[in-house]
Amino acid sequence: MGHKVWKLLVLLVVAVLVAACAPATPTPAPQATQPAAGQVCTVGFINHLTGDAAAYGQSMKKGVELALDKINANGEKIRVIFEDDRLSAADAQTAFLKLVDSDKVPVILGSGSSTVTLSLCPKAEERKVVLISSISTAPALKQCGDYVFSAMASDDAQGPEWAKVAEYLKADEVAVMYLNNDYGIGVKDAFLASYKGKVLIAQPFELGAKDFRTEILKVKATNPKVVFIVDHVAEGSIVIKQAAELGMNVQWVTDVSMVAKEVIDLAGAAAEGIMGLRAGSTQTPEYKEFEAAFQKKFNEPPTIWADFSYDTMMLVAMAIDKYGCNSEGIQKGLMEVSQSYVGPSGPKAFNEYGISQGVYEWMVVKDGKWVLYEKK
Amino acid sequence: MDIFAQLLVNGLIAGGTYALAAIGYSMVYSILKFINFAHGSIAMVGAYITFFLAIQSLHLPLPAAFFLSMLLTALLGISVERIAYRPLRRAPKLATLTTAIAVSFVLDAAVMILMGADIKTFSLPVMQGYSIGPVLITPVQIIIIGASLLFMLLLYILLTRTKLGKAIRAVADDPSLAEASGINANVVIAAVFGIGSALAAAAGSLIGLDTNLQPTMGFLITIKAFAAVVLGGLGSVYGAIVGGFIIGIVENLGVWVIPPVWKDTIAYGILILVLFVWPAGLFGSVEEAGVLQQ
Repeated sequence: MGHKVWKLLVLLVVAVLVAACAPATPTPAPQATQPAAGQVCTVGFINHLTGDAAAYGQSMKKGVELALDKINANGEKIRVIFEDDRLSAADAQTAFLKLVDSDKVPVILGSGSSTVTLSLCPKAEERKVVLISSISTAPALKQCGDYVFSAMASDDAQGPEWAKVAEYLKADEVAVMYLNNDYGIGVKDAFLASYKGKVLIAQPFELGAKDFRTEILKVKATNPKVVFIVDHVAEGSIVIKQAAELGMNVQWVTDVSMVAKEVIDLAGAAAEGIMGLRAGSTQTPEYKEFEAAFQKKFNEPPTIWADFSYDTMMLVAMAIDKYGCNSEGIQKGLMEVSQSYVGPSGPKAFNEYGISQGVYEWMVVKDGKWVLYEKK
Repeated sequence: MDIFAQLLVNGLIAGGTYALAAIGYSMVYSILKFINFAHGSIAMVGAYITFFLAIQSLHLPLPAAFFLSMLLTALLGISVERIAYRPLRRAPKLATLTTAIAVSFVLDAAVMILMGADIKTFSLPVMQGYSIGPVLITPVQIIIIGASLLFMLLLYILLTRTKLGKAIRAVADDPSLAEASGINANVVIAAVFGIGSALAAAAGSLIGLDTNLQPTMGFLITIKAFAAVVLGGLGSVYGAIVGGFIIGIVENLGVWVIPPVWKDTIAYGILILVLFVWPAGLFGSVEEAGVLQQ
């Protein structure tokens, strides 16, 4: 009797040990459950559709919708499930697991925010789901691995472009204001590394704050003529407005995130004359065609980043066409099809890190509109 | 020195709105002994009502929209109390507290659905402030400080010079004794929610004028106002006002020397330090503070 109990116990302990030591087998990528080529492929989309950065997410959703019209013109090929991350890494994790486990998507059009995309990247690698962001630019994305892509050039490129603007403006000393997150720090560091002049102050400020007067006064106290600012629309427009109220008369130069009509709507007359970088080119035939289609569908000019999300969706569709609706195929396909693809947001060839290279245009607010800056 | 004066004024601007928002918290606490965590969201709704009346649909003059919004938000506050809190009046305070958090989620979501999640702005012309000595201040900011002080004065008159005010103080002091003397507690509680919500609407609208509108703005108001109330002393309306100004000023001065990531930490750090020395807050009584532990 005792013997039997011992045997049972030993068995139990061994079973528990085996279970504990066995490598945690990740659920296999869900390609098997998706229909083969020729049928509808379900794709995920996670972005900030509500909250402080909703302007970006909603705009990128429009770009995807426009691309879907083209992709599904002759019968439905791709269906997209839109999820909200409210610019929160925690919400994005929930949406990610829902899309992967419940909807079995092989690819997710990832968040606009570098911080959110970075938070999803280990999960995407572990579950072998392709994560492609339209606009995440933090240099840290390079370390993410094979399944993570970004269709916008890394901030390693935006910083030097700022330095070119500084050189053009003959600014030997400038101030920098930056959003204290992965994106803001990335741009600031890249700029500091390539700018030759003197940086009077590099002032951080917080995402979600509303009162930046002290930060502005600190910058004002250094008497800059040119201030470079990397920010989101919500906070940036308040900074510009409060700075004008506090009598700060400077040439602002913004990052790509602030070259949006919302900045002009929110900062009003204070936005007049500010310069900024725009990723991509508005002068190419691809962009003109996209601009017309966007205007026709949504009855407004293209909103910020819509061209990038459009291209992301098109690239994913081409990859699915080539290798079918599974994550390995899409991963391989994206690397191949991107090499020759040129869309409204420019050429999208992914490098070894899965990141596109980019060009920038210099923009300026003139008569309440962002227009191309004319170099003298 | 010049910069110090400017920082002080900036602190007053922020502090004025915190103080207005904190009054409602404090009044509700003094009567019902629970923290109404939905108060920030009610301020947010008030701001959106002002926006809706003045900009989005009826194009009322801004002052008219402002006062109408205070009235409508007062009604909202009274309804919230009637629907969500009164049935729980005899329940443990934790139940009411949890309900208040739920109410704030409902209000935030409702505004997000009805008005959209994007940022709204009153589009007032941006202008450089007037110079008063070394200090620059804009008309909107003068209105913010002026309106804050005006509403606080009106509240003081209401509480000390009117019958309703006396009834409110009586219920806050001892509810059963007040009821025994013929004061209808339900009417007083409704009045407190009405007044608190109207002031919240004023605070929300003023904040909106200064820094735009977002459905999520209520949470930030809650954080600051809560700190102001506890700092000033739970249940002390005047303490809440002083607390609001202290937090506004200290934050603005503090960010001058330390990185802004610590901004909220400054507010709560001050709070903790003060509570070490005066456990009931600056103007609160120990009895009131003790209620939290029950």
